[in-house]
Amino acid sequence: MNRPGLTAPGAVRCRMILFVAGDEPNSRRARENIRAACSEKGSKRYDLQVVDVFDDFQTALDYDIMVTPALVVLDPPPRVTLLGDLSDTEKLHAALGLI
Amino acid sequence: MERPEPLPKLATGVEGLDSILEGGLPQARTTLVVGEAGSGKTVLALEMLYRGAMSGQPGVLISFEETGEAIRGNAFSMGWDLAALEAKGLLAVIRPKIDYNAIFAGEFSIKGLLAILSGQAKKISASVVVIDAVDVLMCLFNDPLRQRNELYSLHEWLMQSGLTAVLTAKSGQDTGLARDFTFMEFMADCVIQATQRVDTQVSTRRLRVLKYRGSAYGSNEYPFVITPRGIVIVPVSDAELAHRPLGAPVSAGQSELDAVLGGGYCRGASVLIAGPTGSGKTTLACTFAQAACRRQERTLYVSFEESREALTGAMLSPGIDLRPLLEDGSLEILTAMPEALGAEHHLLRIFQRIDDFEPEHLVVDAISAARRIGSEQAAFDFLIRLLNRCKERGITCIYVNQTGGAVSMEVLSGIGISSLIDAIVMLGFVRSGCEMERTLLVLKSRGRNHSNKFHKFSISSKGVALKTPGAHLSSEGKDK
Repeated sequence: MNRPGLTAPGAVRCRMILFVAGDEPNSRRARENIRAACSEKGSKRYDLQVVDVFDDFQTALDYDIMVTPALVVLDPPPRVTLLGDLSDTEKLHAALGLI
Repeated sequence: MERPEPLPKLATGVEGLDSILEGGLPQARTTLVVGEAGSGKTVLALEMLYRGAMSGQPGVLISFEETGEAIRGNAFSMGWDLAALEAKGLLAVIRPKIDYNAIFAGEFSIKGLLAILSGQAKKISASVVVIDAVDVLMCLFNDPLRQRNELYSLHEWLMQSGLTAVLTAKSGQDTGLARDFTFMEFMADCVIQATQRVDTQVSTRRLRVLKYRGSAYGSNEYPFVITPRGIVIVPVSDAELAHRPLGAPVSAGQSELDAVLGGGYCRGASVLIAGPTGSGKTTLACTFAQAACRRQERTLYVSFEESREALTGAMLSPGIDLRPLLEDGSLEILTAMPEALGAEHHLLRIFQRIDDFEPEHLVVDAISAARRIGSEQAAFDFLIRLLNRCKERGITCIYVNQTGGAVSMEVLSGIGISSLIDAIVMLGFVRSGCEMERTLLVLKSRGRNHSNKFHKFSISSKGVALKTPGAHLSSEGKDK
């Protein structure tokens, strides 16, 4: 997907929320995968919030999160939602503007 | 092994449904409502939730199909104020948007939904949860095996939660979920199917319980109607007859007629006034209605033939002025075009008027029109159920029936209905010289010592009159 605003990577801050369901295997993998992706280019550019839906269902409701794990990339716009454990690195990197 | 406890049930409060379910839905279990689009399954689930909340059982509704506004709007049109219940913390309506542009990047599960449901249910101490259009959510899992796994984990969670759950799902070929329905039906303790079919140009919704684990249930297909007050199901084959015995005599509205009838009709009786067109059936029925209303006995007149104005206008010529009776509220006229609604709908409209108006007497003019409502079967069901309802309430019923066309006598005398008719007044014409004369014959009047002769019958500006009881008429109708 072509996303505007990603041509000058140094200037872009990426803000996102990862929704997980406790210690579910796929949630654990999603945490690992997102951390790995962020560290590849230095985590400073990434603002990652992790929400456990069992602790905070209201935020899940606010973001219409029916399945977990799910990653919502808020900034830069437009908002993109990735569903799954983020094992599809190609799609994850594309969403984060890493390729 | 201990003997199993009787299955705990949760009454739905939906009129007629609890008797079919023999008490209600399985408590703390899952019920699946399947049906095509437009079959009424959402309204059914919504009404169960609403009635539950009204009786102090908080519930959570999560809908994947309609917007929260649409749900509240639809509910409001049936007089259900969901917003008020939400404000009181008796109801939570969740309408998540499914992001169809979401990127699939690995494995996921419906834990988010479960967290939201569990959070909301805890928040309002819910005992009921409705998941409307679970099939829409399942579209996120494009593989039947995954759909099955997710539904299974939903089921597991519901079982553990102790919530009484109602899930709705579309049936039919266009969902692509056919294979999973078998599975969903497996996991649900109770499965209700809603359908909508067009029969002789009239569309009818029907409901059938496909299974109910550990419980007996009414296994027929029951027609139901979505009325302005919600769903109403009237089990047609509710075999329990709770008819009241016939009551004291009640005047037919004219003294000579009362004499012929052996003192009038009986209260709570079903009276059939039959005859060809123009023989005075409506006049006779209105004579009765007028007299009843003048005694301040509320009477409901269901007119399938004429508008309220046409009826009141036409009755002025035989000197029956219904207008003051309408004004003082002793008479109500309910008009309906037979073709305008399905049989169920007609029936329910009449039942609701009966509930609200609480009449002592009912006139249906004419039951011959019932056939125009739909098929022969529909007309028969309509009549027998109306008869039963009035018999249970002890309401005197005057059924006007046009003979020589439309519904024949067999419809009335066949399959048990004749036993429900207590009195039959036959009107007709005979030739007398070069005139046609009206005749009246009491064919039957249960519990009354009635005349069995043909009587000359006339209608003038002073109403109906009978000439010399016993006056003999033409040989063809002679009664010995």
